[in-house]
Formats: sequence, structure tokens, C-alpha cells
Amino acid sequence: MPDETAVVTATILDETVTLSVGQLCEALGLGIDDLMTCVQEGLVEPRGISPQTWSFTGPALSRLHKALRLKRDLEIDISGAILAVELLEEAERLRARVRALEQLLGTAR
Amino acid sequence: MQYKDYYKIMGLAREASADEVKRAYRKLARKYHPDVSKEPQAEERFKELGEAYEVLRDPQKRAAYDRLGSAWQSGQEFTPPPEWQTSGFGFQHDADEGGTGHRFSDFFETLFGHAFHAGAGTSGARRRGQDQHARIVISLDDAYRGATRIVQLAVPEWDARGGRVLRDRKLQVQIPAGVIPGQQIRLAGQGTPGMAGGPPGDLYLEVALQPHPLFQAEGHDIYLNLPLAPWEAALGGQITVPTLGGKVDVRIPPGSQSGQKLRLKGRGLGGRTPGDQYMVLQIVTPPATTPAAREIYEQMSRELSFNPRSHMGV
Repeated sequence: MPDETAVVTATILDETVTLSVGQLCEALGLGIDDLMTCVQEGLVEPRGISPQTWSFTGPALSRLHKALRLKRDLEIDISGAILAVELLEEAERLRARVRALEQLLGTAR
Repeated sequence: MQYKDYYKIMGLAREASADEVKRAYRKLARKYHPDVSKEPQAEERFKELGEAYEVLRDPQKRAAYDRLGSAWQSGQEFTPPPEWQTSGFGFQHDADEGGTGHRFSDFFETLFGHAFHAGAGTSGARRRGQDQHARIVISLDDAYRGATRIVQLAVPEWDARGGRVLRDRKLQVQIPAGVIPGQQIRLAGQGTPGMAGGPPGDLYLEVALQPHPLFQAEGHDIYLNLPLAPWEAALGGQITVPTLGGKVDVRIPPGSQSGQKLRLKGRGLGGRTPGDQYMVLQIVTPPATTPAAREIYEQMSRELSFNPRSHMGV
């Protein structure tokens, strides 16, 4: 077990980080079939032409993680979870706009 | 330890059918899921709901729970009946499916045991530990500059018999500068320990930001509402504005209007290719509360032929 007082440095999973299909599936406990569905439905976009050579960037992990969490917790299928992720992201963008506009109008709080 | 009324949590009668349990769970899960709900207590409610469902959907656990009787009140001080310890239930549940290290209440742990069972056939084999996921909430300044924060986790570990136990663990995490909301950061080797000498998994933290009084983060970009005096907007000029990295002088073009956006390139979040800071202009009029101020407004009214509603045809 690592020393609890030691400081552990985190890596940001941004666009510069590349994850293989294996790494992504391992990190998320994700089956290849669900990953294929997520790619087909456009939730995440791989680089590479065939699933054997696919690679993904860091943000793909965030979106997949959220979709899988919703699938499991809401007991919905993966396509429903993908739709939910997209709608939640849209809602978040709109909320940010509303917050900014409210602040502009001095109606915040 | 407090008694938990799982039926009350799920809004169900004690005789609810398995189908009704499932329907109630799905309905409430959509309402309180932390990804979906904006209610302040959502996370707490969702955890309670998950625990209630874990018991009520499993006929064996539900029967055992029901045998406690219906006389208990939610929150009442609870001690398990003496025969409970020796009844020898071998409960199996997936409390920590997905490696979240999520912990149920003491009430649940006492009744259904905290020895998690490993899947059949996995004990003894050398195996990499599971990757774990958690969430970390930091300030916008921490995201911009980077920070060291303590993260508290419930970590599943293998005991000598290959059973799984949850242990509290504190970890000091160096968060790199430039994280953005919703992004994941990875701590290599800080997930669940491996089995039989296998390597540990990784820990993934999803970054969330506390609201900031001035700035809003949208991905890598930062938004700031920037109040201007009417003369600053009309005449233009140089003003000082706040950014996450400190104060910066900005030139306001003459003839600026409310709602227009100015961009400060590279003043947003993000390491190598930072986002920008956008400033939405907001013209604020000084109050006409002194004779001098009134005189200036009256002079403008007399001398400027200005109709802000001309495009409305009025």
C-alpha cells in the first residue's frame, strides 16, 4: 500500500493523452460491444481505421464514464445513456449561459 | 446506529412487488442521480436510494430485513437482534461495482456484512487491481494554478481469505494546473491493490468546480461580465480587468455596446494550449442622484439626438 502522506501527482486526461481500446475498456470495466455502440452512435470518436488500431483521447474516457454510470444507475440501455449524456451536456451549456445572463441582468442569487 | 426505513426511502408499502420496487427505483434514480439532478441533497438521496434498492431487490436480503419487523422508525437507535450474528447469511452484493469504493451505511454493513465476496474462481490468481473512480471538487483558482488536495476514499482490499473489505484511505493529490470541469485526472497505481502480487489499478478523479463569484468556466474558456461606465463604452480607453492569472490592462474600443464580447487570448484554463477569457460588456449608468449628475444627463438629453428604440419604429 502506498504511503498515505506521500503526494501523488495526477495526469490530466486531455486531448494529448492517448488511450488504447484495452486501456479504455480496463479503466471503465467496459465491454467491446458497448464501446462499439458508443463509437457507432458518435459519443466518442476513435483515431485509426479498425477497432484493432483504434485509439482515443482523454476526454473520451470522461464521456464514456458518464454514459456507463447512467446506464448502470438508471438501468437504461447504452443508447439511452448516450442520449442522456448529450442532453446533459447541452443542459450544462445552457445553464452556464443562463448564469452569465442572470449575472449580466443583476438578477443572480 | 440508526435504523433505515428502506420502504420509506423508496416511497413503497411493505408489501410492494418486485416490479414495484424496480419501478420506484428507476423513477427516483432519474430524479436524484447526481449527474442529472440539481437538487442540493441529490447525492445523499441517491446513495440512500441505492442502498435501499440493494436490499429490497434481493429476495434474501429483503426477507431478512422484513424479519426485523415494521415497528422501527426511520432514524431510531438500532441494535441488531442477538440471533442475527449467528444466522450465517452469506450475503453477496455489488456495492462497489465499477470500482467506486462506495460505502453503504453502518446499518447496512451490520446487517449484511462488510466482507465482500470475490467472484468465483478469481481468488489465488495473480490479477491487476481494479481501476477506481471518484470525484473531486476544487476551486477555479486551484484548476488554474494547480493545487495539492487531500482526497478521502473507501478502498476495497483483499483480506487473507480473499474476501473484500473497505478501508478508509486519505491521499494527497497534486492536481496539475490547467484542469477543466468534467475532465478526468489519472493517478497511476492508486486504484484497488492487485491480487496475489498483481499490480494495483489506477485511480481516476473527475474534476468538478466550485462556483466562482466573478468567473464562469466553459471548457477551457473563462467568461467574465465586465461592467463599463457609459463614457468608457462610448469613448473607449484602457481599463484594468481581473483574470485568473492577475490583473490585465485591456483597451476598450470606442462605441462599445452592452452584450458585446471582448477576448483575451490565452487567459483561460488549460496547460499547453490554454483557452481564452471572454468579457461580456455591461454598461452601467451612474445614478442621477446629485444636481451635477442630473445636469449632465439633461444636457445629453438636450444635445444628443439619440433614440435607442428607433429600430422598433417608435
